[in-house]
Parts: sequence; C-alpha cells; structure tokens
Amino acid sequence: MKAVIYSGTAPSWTRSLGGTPWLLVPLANRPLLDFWMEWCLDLGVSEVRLVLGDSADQIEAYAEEGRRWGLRIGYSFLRDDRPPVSFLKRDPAQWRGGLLFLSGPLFPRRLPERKPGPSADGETYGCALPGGDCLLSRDPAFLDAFIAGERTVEGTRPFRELGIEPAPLASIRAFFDLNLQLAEGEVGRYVTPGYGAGDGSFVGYNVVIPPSARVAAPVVIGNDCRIGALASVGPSAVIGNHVVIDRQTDLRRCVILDGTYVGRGVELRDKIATGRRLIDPDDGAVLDLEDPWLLAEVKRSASFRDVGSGVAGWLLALALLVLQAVPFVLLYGWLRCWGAADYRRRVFHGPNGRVQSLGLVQPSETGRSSAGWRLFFALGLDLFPRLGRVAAGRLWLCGHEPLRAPEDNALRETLPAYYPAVFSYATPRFGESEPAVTAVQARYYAHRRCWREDWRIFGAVLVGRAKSLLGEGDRDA
Amino acid sequence: MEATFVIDKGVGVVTVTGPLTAAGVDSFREQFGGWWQNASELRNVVMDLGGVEFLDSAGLGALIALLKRVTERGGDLKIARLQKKARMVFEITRAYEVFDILDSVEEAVKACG
Repeated sequence: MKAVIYSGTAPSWTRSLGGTPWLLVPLANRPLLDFWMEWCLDLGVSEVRLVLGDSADQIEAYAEEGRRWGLRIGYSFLRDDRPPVSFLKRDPAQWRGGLLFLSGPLFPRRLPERKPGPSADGETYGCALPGGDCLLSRDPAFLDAFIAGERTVEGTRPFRELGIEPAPLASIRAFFDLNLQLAEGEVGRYVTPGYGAGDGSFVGYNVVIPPSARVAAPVVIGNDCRIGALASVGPSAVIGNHVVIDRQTDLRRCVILDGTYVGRGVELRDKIATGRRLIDPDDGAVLDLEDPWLLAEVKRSASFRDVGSGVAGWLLALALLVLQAVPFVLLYGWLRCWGAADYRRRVFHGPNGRVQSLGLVQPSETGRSSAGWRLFFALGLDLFPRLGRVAAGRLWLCGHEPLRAPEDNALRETLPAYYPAVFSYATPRFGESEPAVTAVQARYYAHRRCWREDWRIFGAVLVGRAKSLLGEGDRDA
Repeated sequence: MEATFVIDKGVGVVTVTGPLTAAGVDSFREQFGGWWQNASELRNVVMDLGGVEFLDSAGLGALIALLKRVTERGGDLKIARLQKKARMVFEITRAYEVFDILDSVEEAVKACG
C-alpha cells in the first residue's frame, strides 16, 4: 500500500505563522506530517510520496528519506495550476495495490476507541472537507475510476469506522483549537511528545523548571525550554521547543511556538506567540512587537557543524591569504598599471541579516582576454579581498554566492539558511549568473550543506580556475 | 503621532492619532504636561485611543506616567476606544488591570462623572 500526500498549495492562514508549510505546522509540538506518518505505519503503508510545491525544501529537510519513521519517502512536484489528483494519473497502475491519498491540510484525528484497520481487499473510505480530500482504498476498480475522474470520495465509507476522523485545518482558529484539544488529553492517543507525568502534562528533554514556578496540567512543553521563577504555565498551554519563559509570566490557553522568548511578567491567554509575533486566533489579528522584553525570537546557538566549518574555513582562509598576498600585490599592481582590472565595491547580504559591502576585482573590457588577467583569475587572486572578510569572520569560506542587495532581497527571504561565502557553485565562473540559476544554486546549497559539499565546492573552484588558464572549461574571459 | 486636548463636561479628553511609540512619546508627554498645567481645574482625563493602531512599551509607559500625574491630583484616567492591536499589548502586559477601559468616549466621560 502506498500513500500520496499533496502539500503544494499553502493555506493563507499559515502566513501568520511565518510561512511554515502546513505539513510542518506544530500540533502539540509535533509537525502535522508526523501524525500522518504515524497513521501510515498503522495502515501498513510502505512507501510515501510527498507531492511538493511551496516550501518544498523545508519539508524535504525534515522528512528526508523517511528513516525516522521506518518508511520510504519519495518526492515529486506538481505545478500549482494542476489539481492534486492529476499526479495520480501519471502512473495509475502503481496505486492499485492500495492508496491513501491526501490533498490538503487535514489532521488525522484519532477517536477515543481504537478500531482495526481496513480489510485487505477492502472497502473505500473517504471524506471531502474544506481543506482537501482524503481517500483510503484497496479497491483497484474504485481507484481506477477515481483517478480517471469518474468517481469522487462521495458515497465512500466514513473514516469514523476506522477510528479516525480527519479534521480540517482551515484557519488559525482551527490550528489553535486543535493544539489545545491535543494538550487537554487527546495527545495521549498518539506517540507522545516528551515524558508524560500521568496527570496530562508532557515535558520534553532538557527543560528547567524552578521550584517556585507553577506548571498546571494539562500542558505540553517541548525540548530545551527554560521557565523562570514564579512563572505560571498552564492549564491548557502548548510550549514549543527552545522557548524561554521569564519570571512571573502567566501562560494559560495559549500556544507558544518554537524559539520564542516570553518576557518577564507577560500574560498570555487565548493567544499564539511565535518569535516576536503575537496572534489572536479569534480573528487572526497579527501584532509584531517591537519590544524584545515582551516577546522576542530566541536565537539558537550555532551548531557544531557550523562552528567546525567556521574554524576550518577561517584557518584555510588565513593560509590562502598568506600564499596569495605577494602574487596579489604584484599582479594586481601590474593589471592596474595596464588598465586591465579595477577594484569596485558592491553591497551584498551578509550573514546574520546584515548588509555589507564587498570588494570585487573586475577585468576591464580590454583586459578580459589578457594573459595577465587569465593568470590572476586562475590563481584566484580576484577572491583575495573576500578572503580577508573570511579572516575577519564576516564571510564563510564555502557556501552561497553572496546575494546582492537589493536585487536579490526576494530570494534571500525565501532561503531557509544562508551562508554567504568566497567559494560557491558560481565561483569557478566569472561574472554574474542568471537570477534563476542563482536561485536554484542557493536553494540547493541551503538543502545540501555539509562538509563534503563544502570540500566539493572548494575542489571544483580550484580545478575550474586551473582549467581556465589552460583555455579549457568556462572561464568567461 | 498627533494629540488634541479638549474639555468635555468638565473632563479632559485627549485624542491621540497615530502610533504611540518611542518615536513620538516624548513630544506627547510634553504636550500633555503643558496642557495639564494650564488646566489646573481638571481632575479626570479620558484618553481616546481610537486612532492609535499600535503602541509599544514606551507608549504604555507614557500612559502610566500620565495616570500617575492625574491620580496625584485626585482624579482618574480612563481609556476609551482601544483598538485591536493596542488591546493585545494591554492584554499581554496586564495593563488592563491598571486602567479602566471603556468602549466609547461618551461612556468614559460619563464614568468620570
């Protein structure tokens, strides 16, 4: 049996949560996708196909190949203007062994009484809800007719018979209510998020709760949280991961999403807080607070991988600077005397959301084909000013091609991670890439970033530059 | 941020328009201070925040400072027509425990009487 989950179209209400794709919106501190995977396991699904659209990289980065659930997850894409069911038409035969199909933001809500799964030769179950359709069938004839558009989910058996009731997540209110319903007891029907104390409270790993703080069940607290003295948390509160709750804070009937700081003495009731954003689920009103002592985003400390990569890059940049210093001074001076190159500064997006100007050594029109520039380029001396930035800790050695400000602002906002660097996929060439190519390369690196990929980029730049001296490859000069 | 000051049925009515944030709070306090000194017979004040779409902690601090000045004279300060986003700030900071918040200016003026 296989499952197809279509995540292509983002519901408008998820925008207030910062653009989190609906498959990853947290429900009692677990992404919605987790609950679907849990049900897939119950149904005996072996292979899951995620049909992606917006924010595909975030979903893929989370689910990977599905090892965490013991499932095999594959990815496909479907254009926005195509209906989700059209994906099934690509190869109808492969779904005849049984299919669980989901086309929108629904939550597989378990009813209090667990019931056995569908029979092997089975019935067809389905529902059509405001968020999307859900279908479960092992009937090849029905599936063929459904894929051909001759049948719909109308007239199929209700999921209730399987002990499941898909609930639509059609608004921020529905998201909020579902979180509280889970916290108020339903979460016990699923794999629980953290240690359950038996009184309806679930607490994750590495949570510090001082004796003077009051935690009243039912409550769900994520991993790596700090609760201040005299704070009151719950009843009916969902606290995400990496949340800091300051002293004398009062949180009831609220959802605090990951990475949020709640300031001293703040009172949150019937609200959603995410970073410095406060959301009223009643009408979806969004308030971005300017005061970091009320609500703020918790900055996560750099990962071990980032620290290691930064130190290794810094050392390598220092070595390259030493090696290149004399050749740079001599060759650059020579090129300047002959008018073959000049030095310009351009504004780029730096790390940590800041904009910085970077020095670029560029050839003149006449100097492009000169032997001096070719040697300068092949030795990577045009990168010398940027290496200085690495040594100053303001750039990475390997990573993204620095994005221009303001030309690439839109792309910068869509990247889940950004590591502006000296060496990137674009560095073997000279000159600016097409915007579409820059965007694809930036998203690819954001997803694939690892030490091996960094070394691959570094090697590709050295080889590419060397080939340009021999007149091979693309040197664009 | 703009503020107008009038007296209605013996109650001072301060109408604020625009965001009440750190950027404009000093001039607002100065304007209020000047008006409050001149209107020495006034005791009660109604703050009409119907035109304030947003306020931050500095704005809230200014309102609390105003409340202190008014109560020192034996009067009271009431808030009227609090808008949605400003109301959210009042809620999370528990400022609603300090101020009387009413739906309309007329209601607030009447409450002062």
